[in-house]
Amino acid sequence: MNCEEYLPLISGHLDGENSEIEERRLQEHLKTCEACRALLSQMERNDALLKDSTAQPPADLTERIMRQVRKEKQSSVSRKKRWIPVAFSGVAAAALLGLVFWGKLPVLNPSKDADAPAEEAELIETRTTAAATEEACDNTQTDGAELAESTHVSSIMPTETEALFRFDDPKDTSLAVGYSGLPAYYGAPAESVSGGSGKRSNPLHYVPSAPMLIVWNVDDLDALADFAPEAPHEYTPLTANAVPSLYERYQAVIPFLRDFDQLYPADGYSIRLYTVPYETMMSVFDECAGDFEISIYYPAQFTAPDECSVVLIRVDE
Amino acid sequence: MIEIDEKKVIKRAAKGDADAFEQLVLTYQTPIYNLCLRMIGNPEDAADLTQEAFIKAWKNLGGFQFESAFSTWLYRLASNTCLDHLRSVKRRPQVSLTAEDSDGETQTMDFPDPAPSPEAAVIVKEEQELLARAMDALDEQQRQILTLRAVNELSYAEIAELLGIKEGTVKSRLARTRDALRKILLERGNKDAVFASKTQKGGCGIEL
Repeated sequence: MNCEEYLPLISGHLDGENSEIEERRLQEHLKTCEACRALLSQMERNDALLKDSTAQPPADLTERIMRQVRKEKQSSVSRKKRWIPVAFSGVAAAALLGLVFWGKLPVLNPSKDADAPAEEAELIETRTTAAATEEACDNTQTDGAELAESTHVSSIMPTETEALFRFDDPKDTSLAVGYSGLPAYYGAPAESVSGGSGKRSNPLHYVPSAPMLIVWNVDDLDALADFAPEAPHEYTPLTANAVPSLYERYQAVIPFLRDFDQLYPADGYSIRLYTVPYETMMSVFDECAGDFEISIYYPAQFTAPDECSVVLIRVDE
Repeated sequence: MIEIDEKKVIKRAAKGDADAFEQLVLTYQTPIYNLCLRMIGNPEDAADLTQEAFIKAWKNLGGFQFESAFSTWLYRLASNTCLDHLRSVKRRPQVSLTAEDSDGETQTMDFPDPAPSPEAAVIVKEEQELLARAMDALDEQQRQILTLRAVNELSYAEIAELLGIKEGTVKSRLARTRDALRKILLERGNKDAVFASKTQKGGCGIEL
């Protein structure tokens, strides 16, 4: 009898989150397995202790918070228009490498999947499930199906753009949903995590190597075409390998594009790569800010590249 | 707080009404503080981070579009604030709850006494301290998810939304976290004679 597989059911039982079938299976098993009964009661005890040790916050906490709140006032009003200058103030005059996605993103479903609707829903969900890559990198992972489906896509899209309004401190990513689950190729993995099983190389708390900016759901690829000082590269997955200079110039974004390639049929999107000065970048973002959803990711330590890369992607329906 | 009322309060706070925001602080400061306390392990930092989280909430409330529950948004903000803090202090020497801290110092959390009889209270308190240290030995994501579930009592659906993962992932991750916690306690129990008898009688000898 492999008890390992009952672990999620025991845990789910404690949380009241088992399905009826799971619950029945567990109860059946518990009748005959003393070890799992003991396990359950132990975990139950630990949970109860955790719950019981709920502490009261310091008596003056509300006052402390409110004192600062009244000092800070809000920097709200037309926030959407304002955030970009705020964002870049943290980077000072440094150039910025950014990724701009142009396109209607929630479309894709690789043509190979025949059973469309369910599969598509699944895929979209996966795509927007930022932290799921963690599972893919976790050797102790037991749920194989989940692992397979989330490998490429999961980390690309943040789930909510509400998360992205904190830019006066480039290191402050506390509002970013997708931040923690970025794929490893965006930079060095976060510092390894101590404790626990010791087996994990955990990218969950992940910081990209370069600032990354994503603009979602822009239909018209030409809407901002005027900004570029030079002609863009037209990127296609077929030619990418044959153009080393392209790689060199856009090395920070190419790995992302490769993943992108795997998601979309080759003729399903157009990508333009630009290299632009920082000021140009700024004006692009200024233009985007009011109209589009924008996500941004910063590295832990900002090292400014000489030029900014802008990637425009339009996904064709 | 009733949901509809809360929505009104949030909207007022988003427009700069500090009194409305105070209502939100009063409603959520205890769960947020406990989340931070579990994530961070010491009361002073937990209070500071609770404050930081609420200040961020105040500043960014205009960006909250009611796409998720306010509580989810706030929990996410607070737990990410804690993760950021943990990351920023990781390389610095620090006093930790962990028993095998390199400098040999230990510090324990101050727990309320939940049990009526003094003797039972002592035992419970000891157990809680052991558990707190074991929690500290988990990695921060494990601590986060277990806290959100066991302390803040969020549902799998809420946790899934908060972390941007699937419910199935929440389930498997919680199971592994609970198991990791159990194993840490087991190891410590075996090492530490004072607590050995207590932690073993719960069936810790089982190796799955």
